Amino acid sequence: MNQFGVMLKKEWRENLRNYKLFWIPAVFILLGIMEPVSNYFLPQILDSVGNLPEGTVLEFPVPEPELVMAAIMGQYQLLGLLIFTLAYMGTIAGERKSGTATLLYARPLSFRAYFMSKWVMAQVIALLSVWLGFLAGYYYTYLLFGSIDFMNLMRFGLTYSL
Amino acid sequence: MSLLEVKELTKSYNGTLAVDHVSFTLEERTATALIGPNGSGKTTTLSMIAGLLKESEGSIHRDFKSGIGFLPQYPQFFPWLSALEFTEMAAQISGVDGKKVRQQSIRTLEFVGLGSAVNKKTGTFSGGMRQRLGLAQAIVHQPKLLLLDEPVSALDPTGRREIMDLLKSLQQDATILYSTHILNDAEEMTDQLLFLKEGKLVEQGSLSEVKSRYAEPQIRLLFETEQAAVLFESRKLWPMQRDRNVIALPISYEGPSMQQVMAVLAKEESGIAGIDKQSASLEEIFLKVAGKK
Repeated sequence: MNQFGVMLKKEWRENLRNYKLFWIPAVFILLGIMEPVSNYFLPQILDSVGNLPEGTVLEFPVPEPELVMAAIMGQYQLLGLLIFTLAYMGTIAGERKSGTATLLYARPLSFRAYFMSKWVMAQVIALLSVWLGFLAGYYYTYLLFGSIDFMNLMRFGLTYSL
Repeated sequence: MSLLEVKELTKSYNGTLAVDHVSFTLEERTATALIGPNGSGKTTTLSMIAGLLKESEGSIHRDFKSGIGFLPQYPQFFPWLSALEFTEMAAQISGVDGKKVRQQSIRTLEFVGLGSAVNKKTGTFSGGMRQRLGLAQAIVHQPKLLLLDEPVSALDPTGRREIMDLLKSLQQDATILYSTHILNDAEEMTDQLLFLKEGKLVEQGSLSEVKSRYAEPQIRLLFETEQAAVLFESRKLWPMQRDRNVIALPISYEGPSMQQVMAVLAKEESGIAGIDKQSASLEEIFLKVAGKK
């Protein structure tokens, strides 16, 4: 196995054993589900906890399913990126600071293999999280707002992934 | 044949010299102890040779292609990896043939005494186990040069003895450069002593060479009573120093030989209880060199 493969295996084990492989996708799935659900129940939510004056009448147009999916991506752009940044910031600096990197640096390990393994693993988890969240969001959007052309949805997802 | 040649090695931090023009060579299959007070540049020197720090000046010439085995003073491991996983990773990065990785890793862990803990997570390891694992990752790829920074300082006497025995057995196949402030260890396993002080190499040579430069061998006479020692001192036969009932006679140009002392003591009732010959210990040399301006 080449150095990149060895380091990628190490990253895989790390993300598996510190549960990042589970909790990051779980948060993205939650964000994906929350968008259609909160949109659907918005009138009831406002009615019960909105603290609106007596007799207020609000007309909410039912959003198009496509707009709900776009809003999910909006959430990912803001909260998703924040979660991802917090989860992976200081990955290399942390290993240097804790001294765990010393035993790696004392070997003929290329920085490229070291860095790329971390970057590729982070990208894999990012894509996995986005797609799982996206599909979960699509399912709830389909249930609550109606169907979307699946091919269009795939194109949208692929473009976002790029 | 020299395996490693260090020439005028220097490391400065913002104008402060941590290592100051240090030169030495390491011969194949020898053990070299790097000793010196805290802050004398031992770790910096080892780190430069290991490639962890870039030298400010000077050169390091290695006459071998296989990797270096490096054990830092406080080895840190990824706590979520098992001992076997970490050792295998170390072996793979160091270029051990893929088919041999598993077998060689297990054999190395057994060699350092971690045979029963191969599948335990390193996060659960005690200090002694971490040191053993540190040694395992340093030797798993069978390097020609082993750099060990205070390999036994964190261990209890039993652990220290075991690791020292392991290191001695490794000396048959590898060249070892290790730093230590436990002078008994340095005395036990060394072909060459390098004494650093304030970044400078102030003493260098085999243990016997260094000892001969600093040694002041003495004949020690142990008397039954202090009065007997005082009486012997009052005769002023040779230069001597008395500490209660013990008299030390330096063996020097003006000093006596053992036979002369024995002859004097045999003639009379001197109250002598014991007699022995002592040379300076490495600790005494350390204190002298560390205090030398």
